[in-house]
Amino acid sequence: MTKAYLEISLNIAVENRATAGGIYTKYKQPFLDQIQGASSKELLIRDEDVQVLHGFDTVENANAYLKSELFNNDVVKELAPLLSANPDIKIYVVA
Amino acid sequence: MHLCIVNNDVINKTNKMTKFKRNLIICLTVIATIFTSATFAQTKNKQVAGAYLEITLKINDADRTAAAGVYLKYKQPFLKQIKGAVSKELLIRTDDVQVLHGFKTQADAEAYLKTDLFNNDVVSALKPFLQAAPEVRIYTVFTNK
Repeated sequence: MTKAYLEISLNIAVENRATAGGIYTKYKQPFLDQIQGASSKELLIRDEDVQVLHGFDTVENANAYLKSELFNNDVVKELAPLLSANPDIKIYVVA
Repeated sequence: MHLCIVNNDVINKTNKMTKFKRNLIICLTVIATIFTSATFAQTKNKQVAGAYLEITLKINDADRTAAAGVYLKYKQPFLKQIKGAVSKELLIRTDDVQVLHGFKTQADAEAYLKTDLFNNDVVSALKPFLQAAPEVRIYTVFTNK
């Protein structure tokens, strides 16, 4: 049951989106398998930006993911060269 | 000779019965399979969102209970009446709240913003609580197919 969402909005130029899609796909399963409380991960796309919508069982686990090695050493490092602005990170609790 | 005919009759009848039973079993299996897959497809269709509408709202703490009431009031009408509506969740954090709507397609999400339910009901009811103009985003879900 998803009780919290982590929304990471990323400004990625259209020409870099296929590469970013590859990074998303590469780390989707490790995220779902290894990260505590992870329940879903979806890549959302619109003209202005893309958003990775992560589902968690608790806000605490969403916060903990941002401090994990998978996030900092893998996802952030690989995505960094593709970003045109700082990512916008939001954590919400489901009412 | 007579006995033989009787025996043949019995064998024929038994064969017919076995054939009938076999056909009946096959028929029932086919019907059950079709029914199960149809039900499964329906459930699956209902659950999978192909697009999301995110409406982010700046609402003071003092007004959040009243705003949540508006959300609750229109949740079921949204899910029942709006074409392609899949899900509706109220998300909360200190800075703002967000209504996360799931739709089957991007076109369904765009169409919802033009409906009476959205414009006459939801928008009017929430207006008194908003500290800033709502931020409306429509995203399509990336599928690796």
